[in-house]
Amino acid sequence: MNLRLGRSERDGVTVLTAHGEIDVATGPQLRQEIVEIASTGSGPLVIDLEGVDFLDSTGLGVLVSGLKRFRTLGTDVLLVTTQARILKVFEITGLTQVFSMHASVDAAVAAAERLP
Amino acid sequence: MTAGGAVELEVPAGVEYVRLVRMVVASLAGARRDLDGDRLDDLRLAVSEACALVVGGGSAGRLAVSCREEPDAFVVDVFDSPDDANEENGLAFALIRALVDDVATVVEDGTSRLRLRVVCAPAPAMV
Repeated sequence: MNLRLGRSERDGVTVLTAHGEIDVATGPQLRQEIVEIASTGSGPLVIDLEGVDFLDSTGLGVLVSGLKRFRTLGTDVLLVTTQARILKVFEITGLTQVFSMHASVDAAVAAAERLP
Repeated sequence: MTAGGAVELEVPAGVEYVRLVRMVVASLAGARRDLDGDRLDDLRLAVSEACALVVGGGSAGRLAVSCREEPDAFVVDVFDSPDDANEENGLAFALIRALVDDVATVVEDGTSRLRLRVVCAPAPAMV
């Protein structure tokens, strides 16, 4: 597969780290991982996209459905990326207004800890 | 690719082949035309979105694309563009429209195709 996912805990916040490409082929893999994490009821989720070099609309759809799932649970999904080509995809689709986006995992975890 | 000649690529219509198609098309565009990295990234994603629409539609057994050069553009046709895609795949079309200079559904020789056009500097003269 061209997408590698890793899970860790940082100060009680779950961090999902993605490396590679999120597209129509690998999107389901990410979806399954997010659903699994949500089912553990572990509070906010930080998804680190810094190692992602390709993201398509399927990937965006997976992230949006994950966001809805976590917000339904009364918590949130926070994203990490500084990559121009990934940010551009969020900007074109207006999703920078929807997601809590951060430049580092540290910043995202700090923001997650401030959630009510 | 000789002047006026098209490069055609046909693969099984499976999600696992979309990556191959976008890589080949972007490589070809980069080799033939003076497109910078950002423009190639844009084309790569636009082609990928168009292919995903075809594969996601589930109708075609094959995924086919055709690339050709025009004096001022690199043009990619993705075959069997789904008719109902416009409403169901808003994100995909929003991206395609934003990433390439022109996108249109075209019917030629009885087959419909989604045509993506990237405007670029004139090709070097063929020897």
